[in-house]
Amino acid sequence: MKYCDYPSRSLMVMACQRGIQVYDADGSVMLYWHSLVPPSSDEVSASFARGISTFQDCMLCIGTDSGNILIFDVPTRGANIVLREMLKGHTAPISCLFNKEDLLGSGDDSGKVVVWQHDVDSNSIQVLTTIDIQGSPCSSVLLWEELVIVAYASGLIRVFNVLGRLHAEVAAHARWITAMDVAPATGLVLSVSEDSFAKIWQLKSEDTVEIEHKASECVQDVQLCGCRFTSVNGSSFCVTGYDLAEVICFAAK
Amino acid sequence: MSLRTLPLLFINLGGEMVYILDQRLKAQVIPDEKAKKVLHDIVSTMFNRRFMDELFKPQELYSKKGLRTVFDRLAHASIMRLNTASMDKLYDLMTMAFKYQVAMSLTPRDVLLVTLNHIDAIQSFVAESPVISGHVDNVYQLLITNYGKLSIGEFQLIRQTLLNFFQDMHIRVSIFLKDKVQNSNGRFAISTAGMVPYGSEPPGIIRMFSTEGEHVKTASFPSGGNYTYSMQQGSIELQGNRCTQLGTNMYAMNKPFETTISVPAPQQPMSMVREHE
Repeated sequence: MKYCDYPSRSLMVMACQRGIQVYDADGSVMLYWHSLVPPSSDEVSASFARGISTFQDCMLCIGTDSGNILIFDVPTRGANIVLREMLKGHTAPISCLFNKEDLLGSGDDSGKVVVWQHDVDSNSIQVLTTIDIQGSPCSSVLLWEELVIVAYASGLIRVFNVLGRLHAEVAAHARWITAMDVAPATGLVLSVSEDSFAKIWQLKSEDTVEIEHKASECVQDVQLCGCRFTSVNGSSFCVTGYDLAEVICFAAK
Repeated sequence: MSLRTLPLLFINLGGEMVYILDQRLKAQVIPDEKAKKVLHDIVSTMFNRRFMDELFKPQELYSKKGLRTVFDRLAHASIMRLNTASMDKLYDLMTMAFKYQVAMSLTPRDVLLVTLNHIDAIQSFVAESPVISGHVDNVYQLLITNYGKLSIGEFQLIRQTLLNFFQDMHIRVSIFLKDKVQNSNGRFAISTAGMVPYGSEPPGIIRMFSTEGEHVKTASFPSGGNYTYSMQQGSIELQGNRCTQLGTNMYAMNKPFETTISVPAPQQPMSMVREHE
């Protein structure tokens, strides 16, 4: 589930088994439903949607288990959400999507990452880069400056440039990395994992690209599964965990 | 959610049930012949071929109530009788044990290894009966056919479906509390030491690469824990080394133990097995 913020509205989007639901900002009215299975089908379907992102302030992107990414046009008001195209760059289920300006990063269960670029003039979305390192599912992808940061199920984080060149590799966590976030103003990256750790990293991209470990926080006995910076500069963040009813918040001293 | 989860849920819970019943039959000094008949009848019902064929079809999980009914019936598939309180305690133990095994699996694929540990143990319980042993072999083959080649992503989906099913269950189990694998608040203890999954690297290293792709610099950082490499990958072969203790019989250890479950009221032993002929 994700809140998608556009210049003139916010939408609550849920990627579910069999389809996608789009609600208004407070979740009270369902504006749009997209089914991944034919309506007449009564059969049990394994289809699911996973990975939600806005794109260029006017589109909504949703990943699917087939590897396709559905792109919807979102109007400034009203419920006239329309499927405009399907991006076909993956064959394994999509695990994550991330948007920064005219770029969209997508990762899948095989470990492949694709960076897509939207060309405003032709209004088309094309593949800019494919980073195909197989072996471990990609669990999260971020875009910051000219960099693509990818987290893997193996606990590794890799930093590439948008053209696919590997700059750094971090053995970051002892278990599946479940989520990441980036603070755009400062280049701080937050990663959380089932190993119960939340870790903060500093990206640098001036002369050389570097990544440095800044801090670790252990939330004892909790397998963390979600995280978000709650300030633009990354001085505070929240995490969620399996079987945990609370959202745990941290702030820099 | 994965549509392939139900067989794993059923087989593992069934395996835990067999472990607990075996322990209780021994603790209450039920004669060997009768104890064997109870376990043979239950395993035979559990692994009935037609039921297994239906179970392995892609489908959603049963509801919690539905699954409990299945196990109520299974527990009464022999001459053994359980009162409601005993059945409640048995089911709580089964579910918390499997929840622990799924949560603590090093990798999602370990859920299959946990299942095979249960199958291996069940096979040893029924080794004297070629017919029932044949049923267990059949289930082993079904597991390998259906799960042997799944990807890590598909296993993670199965694992997440199972964890979803067990969410918010925090029943405290005395054998877990004693071994300090569960806290008094019901949460499982997650160690920050131990092995990382096979093929993964212990955290603590940053490698930097040049524009030519050469590894030029290494930095280290405190990982916050004490982790080591896994030296061997668990095997799914018939007689393979599963490389995990999860799913093995924790009641078969050589130490005094109880299978009581702590309850808010005064502690009661699990007085379940009353023979009924």
